Amino acid sequence: MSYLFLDHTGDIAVRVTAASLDRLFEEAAAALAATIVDAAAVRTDRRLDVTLEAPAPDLLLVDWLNELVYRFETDLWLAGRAEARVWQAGEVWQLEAKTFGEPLDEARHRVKVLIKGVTYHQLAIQETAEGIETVVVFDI
Amino acid sequence: MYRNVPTGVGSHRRDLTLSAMALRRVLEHGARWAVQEGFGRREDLDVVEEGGCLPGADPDRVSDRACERGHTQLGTLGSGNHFAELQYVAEVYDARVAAAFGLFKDQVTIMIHSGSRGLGHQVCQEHLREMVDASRRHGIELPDRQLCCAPIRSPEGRAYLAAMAAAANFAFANRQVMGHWVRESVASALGVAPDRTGITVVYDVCHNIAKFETFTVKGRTRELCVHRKGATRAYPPGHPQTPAAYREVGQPVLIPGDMGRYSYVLVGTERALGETFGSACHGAGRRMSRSQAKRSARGRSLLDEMHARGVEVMAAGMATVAEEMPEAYKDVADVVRVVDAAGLARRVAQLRPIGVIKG
Repeated sequence: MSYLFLDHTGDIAVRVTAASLDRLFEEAAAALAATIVDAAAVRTDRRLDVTLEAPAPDLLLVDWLNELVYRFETDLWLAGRAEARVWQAGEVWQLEAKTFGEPLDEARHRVKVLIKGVTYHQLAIQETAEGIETVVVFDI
Repeated sequence: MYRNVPTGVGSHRRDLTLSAMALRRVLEHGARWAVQEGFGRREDLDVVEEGGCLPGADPDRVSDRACERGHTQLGTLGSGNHFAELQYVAEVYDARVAAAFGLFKDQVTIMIHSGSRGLGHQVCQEHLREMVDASRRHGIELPDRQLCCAPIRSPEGRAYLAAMAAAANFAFANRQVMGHWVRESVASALGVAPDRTGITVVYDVCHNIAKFETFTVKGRTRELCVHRKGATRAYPPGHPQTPAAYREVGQPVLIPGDMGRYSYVLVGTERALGETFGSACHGAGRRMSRSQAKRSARGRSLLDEMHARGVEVMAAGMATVAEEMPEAYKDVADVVRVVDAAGLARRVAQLRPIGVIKG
């Protein structure tokens, strides 16, 4: 389970790999936090829950990350860690997530970049020998 | 300027927070709202694209979430490639047109590059999401879902255009408010009254917008939806949409460069009308990825380097300065020479930065 930032001319691209869909969502959230601040400096003793649904898992992933962008911009909420459960229920895919973090504290967090939104650019969740993988592009 | 124009995460002026009703008026009326509220002068609007207010804006198409992202962000610069610069006119290539724009050699200028902030991004995200579904419903095959779309006259298309116009109006108002605070900053620095700074607006224009405009195509007059993405309008002399003050010379075309070298003012041409639907490029374009730029900046003091070039930089975050350093961008002079040689817009003046504010 990991993420790796890739070279991208205008925006920020990150490759996320995980053993399961749940872990992929968790790791993608960690990558988003690490894009905005030094993730190690985010305390994770407070909790904010998120539930979402979408017609496909990749669309749900973008909705999930956009939800975290929105929470950061409106409440300055930094989700340093997440526990996610993703499942299919009939026609839709559902997410229940607990995010653990804290509001931005400029005394301890140096904001590296603001993410405007998460794109659908070349979006795909693919199965690999190790598990599943996706590349997400953040619009900054 | 750095104190008066908020930059960085969550920063905004305590003396400007919008009520829900005020935000609706911003979305409907754009820069006109700002002027009515005392931010700038009525004559500023004469030289703003569409008078600072796109028609067809519908605040009801802007979600509560988008409004929530926007309500404390009016009059804020934003991050990424957004900037406010104090510059001077280093070169004049066309004295007649420069004079019509009110520009002359060694004059001090101010350039602001900012947009619709979080409100616009939220509008974009939500409508992209709808368009992904709409593309499927309309049987449109996509090479990439980021290119999702719907017919302009479809319900989804109309809804988006009404929301986009509202976001554009937020952007017009945002720049108008910041422009006003820049005027106040200069007045305060010079110890003169805000109406005695001699600062007039040259032009305010979008560079990522879809608009209905009229063109002649194969001899027929047609109304087209022109999407200028990373592009800016470049209307010629005599065009009815060219501001009256510039009707004899053409519309100013603003092409920002990077923070260390220069930006340009050009003027629109008849040729652009025929070849690019009255459009020119908006900037230089990046040469390095953001991570390449950061790697290249490691171990260097970019602020000192910029100081040595005669440019003072003030920034909310140093990572942005690294990502936006001059060599991360193509040389905009080359880009502008191509635009000029292609006849899409003609060079009028070169502006060199003295002071740079980054988010």
